[in-house]
Amino acid sequence: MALDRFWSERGCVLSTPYNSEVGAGTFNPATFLRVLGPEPWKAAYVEFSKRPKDGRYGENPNRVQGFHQYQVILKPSPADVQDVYIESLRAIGIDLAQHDLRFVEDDWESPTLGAWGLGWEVWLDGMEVTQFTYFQQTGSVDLDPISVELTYGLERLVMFIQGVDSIFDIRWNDTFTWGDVLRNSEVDYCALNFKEADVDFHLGQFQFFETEAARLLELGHIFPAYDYVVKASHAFNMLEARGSISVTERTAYIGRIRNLARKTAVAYVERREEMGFPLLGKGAGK
Amino acid sequence: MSDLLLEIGTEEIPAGYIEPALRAFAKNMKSHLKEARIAHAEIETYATPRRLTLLIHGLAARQEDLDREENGPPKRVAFDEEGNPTKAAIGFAKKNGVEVADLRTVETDKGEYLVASVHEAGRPTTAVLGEIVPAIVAALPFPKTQRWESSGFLFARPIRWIVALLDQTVVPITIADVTSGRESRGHRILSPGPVPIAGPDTYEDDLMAAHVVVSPPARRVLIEAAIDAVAQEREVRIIPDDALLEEVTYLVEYPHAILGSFDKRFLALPDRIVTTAMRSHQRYFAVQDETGTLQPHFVTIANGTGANEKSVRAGNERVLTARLADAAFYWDEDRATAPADRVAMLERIVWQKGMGSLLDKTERVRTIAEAISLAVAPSAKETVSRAAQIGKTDLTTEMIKDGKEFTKLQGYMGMEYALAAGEPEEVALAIYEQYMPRFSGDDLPSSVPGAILSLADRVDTMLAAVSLGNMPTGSQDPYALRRHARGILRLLGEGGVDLEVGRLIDLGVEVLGARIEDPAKVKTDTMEFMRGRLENMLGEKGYTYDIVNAVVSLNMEDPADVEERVLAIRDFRETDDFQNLVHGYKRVVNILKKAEGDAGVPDPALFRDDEERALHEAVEAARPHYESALAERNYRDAMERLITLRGPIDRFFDKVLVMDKDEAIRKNRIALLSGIAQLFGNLADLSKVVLEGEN
Repeated sequence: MALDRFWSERGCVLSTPYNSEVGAGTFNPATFLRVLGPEPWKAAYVEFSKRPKDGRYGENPNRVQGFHQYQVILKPSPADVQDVYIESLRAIGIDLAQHDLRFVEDDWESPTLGAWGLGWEVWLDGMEVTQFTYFQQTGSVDLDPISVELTYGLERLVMFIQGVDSIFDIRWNDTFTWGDVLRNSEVDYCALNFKEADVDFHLGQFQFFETEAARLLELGHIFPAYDYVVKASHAFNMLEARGSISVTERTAYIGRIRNLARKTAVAYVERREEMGFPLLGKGAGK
Repeated sequence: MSDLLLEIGTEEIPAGYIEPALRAFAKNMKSHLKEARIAHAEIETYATPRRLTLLIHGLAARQEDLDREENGPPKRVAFDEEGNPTKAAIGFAKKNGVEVADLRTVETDKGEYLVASVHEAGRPTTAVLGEIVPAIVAALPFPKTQRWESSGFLFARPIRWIVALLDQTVVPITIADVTSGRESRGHRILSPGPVPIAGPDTYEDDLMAAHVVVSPPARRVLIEAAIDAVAQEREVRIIPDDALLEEVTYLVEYPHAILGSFDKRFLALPDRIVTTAMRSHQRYFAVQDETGTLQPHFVTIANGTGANEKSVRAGNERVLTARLADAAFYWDEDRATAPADRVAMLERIVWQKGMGSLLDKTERVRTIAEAISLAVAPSAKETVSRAAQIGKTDLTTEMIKDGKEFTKLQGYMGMEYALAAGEPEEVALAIYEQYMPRFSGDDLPSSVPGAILSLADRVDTMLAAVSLGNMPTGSQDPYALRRHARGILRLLGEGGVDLEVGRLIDLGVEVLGARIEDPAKVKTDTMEFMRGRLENMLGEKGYTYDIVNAVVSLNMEDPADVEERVLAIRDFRETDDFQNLVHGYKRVVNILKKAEGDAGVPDPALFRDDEERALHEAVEAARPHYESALAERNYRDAMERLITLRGPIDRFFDKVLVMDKDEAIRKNRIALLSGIAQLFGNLADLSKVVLEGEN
């Protein structure tokens, strides 16, 4: 909430979480599509991110299949973005004089989205709390201007601030812990991801979502088409967690999703261009 | 003479990028200044994660003037019939900034031409710097670069400021969207805001006051001293790690060492799990006592003064504990299923498309390894067989499947899990050593079963890749075939496994069976590839290509033997005798090329000339010693024997005409020469040796 206030004051649209399963806030159209093309954009939102493979049935204090990211996207990237980021840490109550802040090399890449960028993992006393990336490409399209993406790992940050050693002990408020709120569903989803998810069903889903995305793209319905690209990606993650995709097949599936992501990205830029890039010139003063 | 300070201020550049970039920065500056005719003295370099800096001493204020001659048009074009200058002459004069009257003519073999003597006055250094610095910075080498502003400039990370001071004066330079000034930046948290630099001579001190130790060697010394100090308090030492020391030197601007601790119970984990958890992601130094026993401590290098030491230590301890807890969880889970019970799980993991599962791979490696063992070390067969059978099962464990830092402990974990399950020590060791040598220059396996497993695994991998057409191209070698080939050659050579290369490949081909479409071609291609690698390895050891080629083209089955032969020939190479001998031998080979049919054995009765009789006798006198020397692999001695033939061969060619009209005599001489060729050919194909003066 302090992050909302901080970034809202700096001109970010407080956007909403995406309404379907995503592996990261990057998949949200408020990032994936908006960073394309020349129009400026600033947004901030929480994203509940699902990574089926990372589940540990609630037994590992640091790893869960569902967690929260706080995503900030700034386009174009401001020259003082590192300083502003540092300010945001102060805004949520971290006294940096008491800690060791580091920007540690990290090359970020999402092969499924055809996206990559350079930046850092931000460390506080050796713990990674944020992913800081200058996007270079998404949907296999070169970006100009360059956007910067800040992805705060909310659980990590809160563990750091509250000084607790387990995600499940995070105090959500005075009464309830993270474990009270989410442990039950975490364990259930692990069972789904690793054991119960029906492989043939998800294979079928993948095919269907892929076909549907392609069909909608043909019709020029870019946003709904993109929804199905994201769904196909999640179906793939489920199949992978079930261990039913071999190494070579894996590359092929990723290639199929990337191909759809590229077509979506290209179509989006074309659409905005036809519209004369209506947001150009907005927010330049901020 | 002035001093120039040039600091390129950036966001945090990856540690591994900095030193190569800094070296190139100084080198390219030097060559640009030379080309621009600007004199200078020493160039000092400084760097932290946030800056690359040059300090150029004794820089001249201007370029040196340049006098040069420019060639112009022919005189007949430059002046008309009345001797007045044409457009050609006027244009030429104008281009070079001289008057027509100052043009001279010179006589060349193509006639008379105009020449202009041009005096180019040197420009001020500051103006030249404004041009060359952006070009030098743009060309700095980084493994990966990014864009961040509208001009699309590429650099490792965004450039945010430039300090360019010629003595006390700012030199205007623009790179990307940044223009130079005199303001640097200090430590992010301890000294926020701009840090004005008075001049080049105060640079180090100005930044020191802003909590930045800008000299890498100075930082390194501080780090080493700080580590020693905190370790001594606890009467422990860090495990020396030069690469890590180098890396952390470029991770911080103001180093402070902190010793932290973790729960002793984690010491029950295998050492390398603990050190990997500390080192690979967190960049901590591991700590041991005097006897070399791992201690429940670590040393981390923080970026700051240490005023916040307590909370920084606590934070780092928490992070390491989480990692160790992860590892301990895996270690306990994984040991619940013994390696032998994991073999069946390998069937679910595809090894390579068309080459079956990891279980298929395991079965093949076992069969090949058993066969090698039978041939070279029958007593090791049981160990080899067991190690091969369970050798890949660590790939099914959580620790290795994790995909993060512990994954690189493949093999090591195989050994540890085997020991934990009560497998014999030599089986566990062979599992660990099956991946050795891991890189060029790495140790070979210490045990025979380890070496055998390594050979079997590699030959299977190579043949599968060759069969699938996955040969390396250029710098691309996704299946690491070059490394595998070199590994095999080293194991068979210096590793002392007494097996021929061809035999090993035959074994592999046989076991792969129907998975290979064209076994004969795969074998030839693989041999050819191995030959190339062997030549390459010997070349790297400093042997010349022609000698290597002379030996390898004859036979490469035993890499150690190949090297011994190469060494012997090289030792004779520079001698006069050798040069003449090879020269004579080349003549022998050339004549034999033209001769037809089977030569047979020479008949002494048919010799006509003394020289051919003498050569025949010399050959027969040398033969027994030569052959026994070869059998004993005493190649120096064998060379000595061949050298004795130098005189007789020379005299033979001086006096005897091989192509005699009489067919019987001719055939007899050919027989003599082919006997010599056979003799030589048992050592090497010396006709491939390049003589002085040959191409």
